[in-house]
Amino acid sequence: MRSFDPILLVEDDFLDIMTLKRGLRDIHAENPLYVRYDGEAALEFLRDASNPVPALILLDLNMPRMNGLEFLKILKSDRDWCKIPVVILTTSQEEQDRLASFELSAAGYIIKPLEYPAFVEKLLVIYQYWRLCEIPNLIS
Amino acid sequence: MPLDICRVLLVDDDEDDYIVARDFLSEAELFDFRLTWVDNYEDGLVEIGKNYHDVYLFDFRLGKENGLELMQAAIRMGCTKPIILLTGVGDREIDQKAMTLGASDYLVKGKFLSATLLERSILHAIERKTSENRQLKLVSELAAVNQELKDFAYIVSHDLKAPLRGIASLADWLQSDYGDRLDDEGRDMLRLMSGRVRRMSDLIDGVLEYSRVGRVKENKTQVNLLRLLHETIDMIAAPEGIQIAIDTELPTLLTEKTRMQQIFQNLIGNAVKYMGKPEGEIHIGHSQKGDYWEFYISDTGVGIESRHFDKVFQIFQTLVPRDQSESTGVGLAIVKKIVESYDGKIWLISEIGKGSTFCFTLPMSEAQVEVKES
Repeated sequence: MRSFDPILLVEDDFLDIMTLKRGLRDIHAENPLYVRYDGEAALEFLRDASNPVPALILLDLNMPRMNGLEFLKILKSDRDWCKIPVVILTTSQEEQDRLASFELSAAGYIIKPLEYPAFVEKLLVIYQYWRLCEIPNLIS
Repeated sequence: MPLDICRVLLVDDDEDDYIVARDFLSEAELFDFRLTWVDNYEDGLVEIGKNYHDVYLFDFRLGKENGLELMQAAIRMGCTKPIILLTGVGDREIDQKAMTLGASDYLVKGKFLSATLLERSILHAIERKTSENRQLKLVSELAAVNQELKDFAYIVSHDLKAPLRGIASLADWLQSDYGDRLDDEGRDMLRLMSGRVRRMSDLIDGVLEYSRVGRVKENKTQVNLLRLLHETIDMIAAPEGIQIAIDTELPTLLTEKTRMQQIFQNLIGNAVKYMGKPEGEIHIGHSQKGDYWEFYISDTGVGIESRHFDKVFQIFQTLVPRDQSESTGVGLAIVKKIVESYDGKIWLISEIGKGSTFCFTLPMSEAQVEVKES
């Protein structure tokens, strides 16, 4: 992922969105961030050809209308979308959610920490990893 | 006193059998029997479908069908009433089959059958079926409650923690963005707020952890307690002045590893936390007593007054003001729940100023055999 590749955040909690925006700013990540509030809105974003294809999706699990796992299932069954790495960002510590996420080819599973500084630490590691990582060329 | 009415359905293609049954039932002393008789399979099914009778008597021979088939059809229809099969002499195989397929009883017709025998069989069949149904109901209620508990735990982990995280972040941002515009008192309030949020979060984690014991089953594996103990001690990372010694060669058990780790982590962790001074000793060991293992974790810490011995095992109970410790009062409650889920016991011996010893037992059941490692 290059420093200008877009990132898609799928998250319904306004404060969690604020946290991620602030976190990206604090780690000096300048990638354009797109935010959609649930799985359905995220699919609409991906279907719309005027939007760029994200190089990384950060996905919450617990959302209205279409939750994260439902979204992930549809994403991973699509010939093109399945190449986009998806990192789960969730409150859920339940084993069943971890299992389901990895069964659906999630690229990572991060439990949102309680405190902001801990979140920034985790975000930095995720970001640096995906910056290092070569990802397939997606149509953009 | 009027007798209880008991409605009996007899499905029998032989009218003579009906007359015998009718006469026997009229002699009954415990019930006021009301007998309905039909002579074929189809009419039998129609009557069963009405769900009107209290007990069913099926003759094995019913023309081209038989009583076993009728019984299975009735059970498929959701029949919860007791069924007694009437068979002939020497039909042992059929009798056995009837019982395994769900009959409440079988009766051999002919000279062995009597009024008292028939009445007693009906009475017992009804009683047994009633308690069977009650048990089934209890089991399904239990399953429903258990599912609710699972859902509840899930909701707690998601829906209570998310807003809490928001509060924590806001407090942090207020501190970093506006800290310089607040006075010491204001900054102190923000700090207290963060502390309370942390405590609330720890409590939620504790409740979740507590509810997981017994709810979530882990596969049993060979757990080398000695190795587990070394890992646990490394994880706790006690201050340098505190010596932790393992006195005995701990056994290897076939058990749930996470649960064992929770026991030792909580007990040793507490011993470290409540040492009350920079230097101290913690000893861990075990002995074999009859058909169970007894383990101990003893420390040279502050000790616990005997009047608090029971209290320390209760959930949310702490002996230190919450502001002075990170304790949530869940740890020992979890340990007790785990030990008791294995049919073990836990207790403590302590003297103020000298230290405490926590002991617990685990039964040496067949499932927990000692394995010599090479």
